Amino acid sequence: MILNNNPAIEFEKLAAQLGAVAAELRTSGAIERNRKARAAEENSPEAQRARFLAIRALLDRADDLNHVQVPLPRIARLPVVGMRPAQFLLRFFNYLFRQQRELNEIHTRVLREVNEELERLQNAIDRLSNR
Amino acid sequence: MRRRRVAIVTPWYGEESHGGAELLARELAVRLAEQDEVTVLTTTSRSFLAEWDANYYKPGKKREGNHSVVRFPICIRDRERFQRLNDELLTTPRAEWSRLRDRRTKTDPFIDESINSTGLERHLASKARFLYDRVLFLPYLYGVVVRGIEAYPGPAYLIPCLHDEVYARIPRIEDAIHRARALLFNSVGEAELAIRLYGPGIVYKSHVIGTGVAPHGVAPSRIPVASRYFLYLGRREPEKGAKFLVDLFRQRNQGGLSDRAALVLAGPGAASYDDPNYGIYDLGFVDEGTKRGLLRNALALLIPSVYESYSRVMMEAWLEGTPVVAHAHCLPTACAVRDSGGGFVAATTEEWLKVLACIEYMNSEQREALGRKGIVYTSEHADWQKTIDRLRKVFDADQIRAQRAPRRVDQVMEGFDSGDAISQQALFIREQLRRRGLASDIYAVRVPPRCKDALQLRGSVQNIADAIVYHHSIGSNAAWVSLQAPRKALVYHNVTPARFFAPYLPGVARQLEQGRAQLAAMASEFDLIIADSEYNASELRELGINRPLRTIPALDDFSRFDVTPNRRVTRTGRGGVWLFVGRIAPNKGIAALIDAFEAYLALDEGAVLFIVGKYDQGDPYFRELNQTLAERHLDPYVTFTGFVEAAGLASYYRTATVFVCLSEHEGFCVPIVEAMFFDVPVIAKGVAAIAETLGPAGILLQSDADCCDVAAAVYAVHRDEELRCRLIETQREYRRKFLPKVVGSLIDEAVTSLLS
Repeated sequence: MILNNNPAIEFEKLAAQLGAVAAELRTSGAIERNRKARAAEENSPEAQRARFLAIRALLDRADDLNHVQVPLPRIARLPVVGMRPAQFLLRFFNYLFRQQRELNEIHTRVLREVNEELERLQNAIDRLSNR
Repeated sequence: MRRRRVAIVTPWYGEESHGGAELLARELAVRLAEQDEVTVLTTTSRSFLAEWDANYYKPGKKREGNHSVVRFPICIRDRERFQRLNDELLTTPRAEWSRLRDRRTKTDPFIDESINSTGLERHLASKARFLYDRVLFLPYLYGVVVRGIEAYPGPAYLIPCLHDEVYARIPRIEDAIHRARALLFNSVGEAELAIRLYGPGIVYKSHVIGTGVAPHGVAPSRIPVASRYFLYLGRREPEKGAKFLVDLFRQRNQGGLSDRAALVLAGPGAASYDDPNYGIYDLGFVDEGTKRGLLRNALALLIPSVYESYSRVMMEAWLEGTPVVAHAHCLPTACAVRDSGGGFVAATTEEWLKVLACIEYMNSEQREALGRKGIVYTSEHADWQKTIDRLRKVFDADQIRAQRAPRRVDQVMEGFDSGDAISQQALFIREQLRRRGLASDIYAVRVPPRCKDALQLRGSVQNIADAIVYHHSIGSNAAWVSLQAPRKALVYHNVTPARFFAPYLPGVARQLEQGRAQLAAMASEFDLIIADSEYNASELRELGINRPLRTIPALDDFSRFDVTPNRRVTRTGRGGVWLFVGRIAPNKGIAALIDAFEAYLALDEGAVLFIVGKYDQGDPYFRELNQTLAERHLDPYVTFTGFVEAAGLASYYRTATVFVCLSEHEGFCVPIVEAMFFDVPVIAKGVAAIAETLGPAGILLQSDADCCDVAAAVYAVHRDEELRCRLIETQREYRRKFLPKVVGSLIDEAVTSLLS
């Protein structure tokens, strides 16, 4: 199941080791059990932690999108509109949505803080339950 | 010819500053001033060892020998705050150093409460651009340099004198590294360390200039040691490894000295390690003559320190023909020893004992042979004239770039999109062409609005260009335009088989089929064909295309990663972080990746998977993937990030603990190379060109590997630290063939062949 491409690793040994783990995974039904467990308990600490990371990634994307738009809209390609009016329109819309951008920024910032706070609480709960 | 005006910015300068970087600044100033007009911009502080906020020198300009020194008053600083933070940093365990990258606010006082001068910053901000042609900063660690680079609006040249220490991870320092126009390293090892710390984004601007070591001006004196000995020379402090050596010799000589070689320590330091019972002789500080005598007669010079950016004493030992033993974990010294062959490296106590025994039992001819190799190395890497020549060459590079010749080589493609592998390669080729003095632009059928890097394809391109380079990956009208050029090259990036797209996007599938047909029909018309990989080249040969063919990896110079990662996605430390980078397309094996990740969750409940790449919400394939995630309750664990900018992508690479690629078809696969440069272990399916791109590195899976096989491989990488280290080491070794200068020279050769 692995190819012998890397001379720095002991191929035979690693292949045997991986084969054993893979066989165990296939026969033990752990994957199916795990799926059922996820369905039963959507709020497990692992799922929560993964969710925190996913939310952070999405908030980063939101930050990326919430910039002053520079590319001209596709409408500028139409000869009736032309480049200069399109540029003007773009600037106008950027101005028009200035407050919206600020609002978006506040939203993402607040969500980020809430997410971080929840993450801190989750960690505290984990620590207490481990004690 | 007008003398170039060079400024050197450094925190301390003067007779009383004895540190390595301070000496380097002095030597550089004196030697550069032989041809250039040099001004040293520094502070009024006395030296590193004195108070950093006490004005010792008078501010103002003064002529010192062949160059000028301008001193600026230093700022008041919060010493206690700095000290508290410094103590905290020094006690941070190595495993947590990387977390400092996310603690910008916390670590800022290390720069702001360090040695600073607002006068110097003002001078750099407002006047330096007009007063100097080139501004050189050194070393990387202090406020004067970091804030100086922030303040200076022109191109900053930084000699970092980088060490593998906690401070190198401070975000403001990383900002300065990325902000600098060029990074000038003292040794190959230091440059390698910088790539490991700051990623491949700095490769394009990294230059190893070396540093000079002047031959001793004094004759060797008689030495105060009679027996055979190993020598330690330098500050006799624990962090330099002096104590490690003393303990090593105590252990070695426990059973009695008999005829075993002694350890001689010499250099500044308060405590004495003298212990003749174990054959340890501490001579304290010695004069230059004695130092030279000690170096000449030693069995070997021992450098156990891991905190070196360049070891002057190592070069001095080689100049005397004495072998060197360096710590294997100190890249700058270890690389020099390995490259030169003038000694050995050792990491663990056992390895050190073995190496010492080996040298001890060598005869004098064998030791001299090692020393001779060192002498050859120093003639290249410790020669002041060569160092200054290399530095001037870097300074001149910008001027060469400005020249233009009338010949023109343009590139043509179907679609240009920033971040896309083909577009990135086109930009790199354009840069190479322009460096050669050729005029060059990129034309595409589809160009994003307001894109500055590419122009809309017009019918007249073929009439104005001396040659056209056409990038082929899909059916395109651009191909016919390029065919009319007087000289033409085809870059074949492979065409994804249409069967992958047929069930989801029949339109794209048709265009791919058209691409294959177009390739067969027109490839023989080109004067030169460039394939991304041997896999692509073999496809062309199978088509019976009999044109000159070269293989050049579809890479760029990674300069887009020359930014401080901006993301907050960082490891939680709970489980593995899987990463895949590529657009969400059916040939990328993302469904299989999700299957494998689900299997892995049975082994590691805290794992997460990031899939970084463009997607289209309306794409049926993307919808299908999302449905799978929902059905299996995997949505909290798997994130489609969409397209992210380079700073974000760098952050994902740094966060990832493994890069898994189960793609079914790739003509090259750039993300595998990027992962190798970010030291992320790669596990990939050995199909299409992937086996070739991964080479003898990473873990390659058979094409029929199922989800459990993949999960088992990832599990092994996470559980077995030794395996992980080996994978990273092999990747570091193999990635050298993808360095921009290697790929750049291949492009140069291809262009020469096209134009001739």
